[in-house]
Amino acid sequence: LTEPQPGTYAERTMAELRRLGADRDQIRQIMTEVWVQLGDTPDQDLSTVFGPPEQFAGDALAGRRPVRVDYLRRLRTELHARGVPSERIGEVLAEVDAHVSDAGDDPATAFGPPDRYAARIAEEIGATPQPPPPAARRILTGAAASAGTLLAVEGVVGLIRHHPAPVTLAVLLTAVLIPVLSQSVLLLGRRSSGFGCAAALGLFVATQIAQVAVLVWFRQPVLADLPAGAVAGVGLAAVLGMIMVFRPGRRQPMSTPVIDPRPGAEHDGPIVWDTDEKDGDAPRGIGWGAAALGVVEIAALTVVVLLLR
Amino acid sequence: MTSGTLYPILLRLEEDGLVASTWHEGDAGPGRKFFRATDHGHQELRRRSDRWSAFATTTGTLISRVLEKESP
Repeated sequence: LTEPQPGTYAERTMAELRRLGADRDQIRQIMTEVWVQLGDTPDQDLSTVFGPPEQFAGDALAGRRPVRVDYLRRLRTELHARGVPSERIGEVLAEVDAHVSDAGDDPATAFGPPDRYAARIAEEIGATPQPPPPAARRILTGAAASAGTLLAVEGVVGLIRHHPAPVTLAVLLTAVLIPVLSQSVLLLGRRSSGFGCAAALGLFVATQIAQVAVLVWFRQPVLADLPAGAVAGVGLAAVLGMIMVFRPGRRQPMSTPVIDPRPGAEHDGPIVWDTDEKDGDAPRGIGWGAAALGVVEIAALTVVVLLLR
Repeated sequence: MTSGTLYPILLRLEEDGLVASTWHEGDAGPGRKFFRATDHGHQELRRRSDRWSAFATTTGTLISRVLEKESP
């Protein structure tokens, strides 16, 4: 075994491997990958390729080198999104991993980009992705969220100014119109990403203007005057509730873990491909970002309405 | 043939019950996957071989007749 220069990536990797109790063969095998990578440019910082040396050493010992891990993780997400069952995902990942270890190929060169390979697999087994919720449900939840925003603002303004919160016809109409129009525009926008981005921004601005207009100028006819606190509470609950229902990643939970089917895998406990919290799969927990955005929107609208009304 | 083409084909053959696969532990590194043709696979192979032979014979005969006509 060649002893690497102190302080280098190779040296830190080797030190970590020894600390983790790797035997001589394992160290040689893993360090070979480091030397091969360093072959062309000995001075390069391998952190950009393999990640931190400590993490690389641990991953490599578990039989998952970061170069592959990144590919496998993306492949797993793509397969899952295309409705491939977990058991089959484990099999496909193990095949790729075993092939790449054996042949020493780069996974993307041997199997193609993860999204395209996943599409190919899904086609072969006739997998069907989970359909998005129907337009009717999206419009319904959108209506509840926009009604919630408007009611929350009316409620909070009422609380601050000490008067009951009016529920106007314009508020109800806008609550329904905003999601209907948004869905139509977004549906058109799906055809080109450039347009989609501009459309989303335009929609956001148009929605804010419409909400201010309804809250400040279109005040008649009033359908009912209700207690401000109750209206604010109902509005906030509707907004947060819709964010919970609609949060990203909720539609496709990974029901069963993806397990490495290879016989060697159970020696140190089966390798579960999706235990890593950092991966790019469905976000866990509720959408706190979206919830914060909803609250900020309500607060900003309240300030605008207080200034203009 | 690239791996990205080969493995999906093996996957489809396995889904159709024409090949079966098992993982074997390797001496070093991760295990290897071995594929073998099932009985049904062997039957299907013979059937398709026969069809291929028939097709090749017919095509060969046609081509040689065309060549015979063209040559003076």
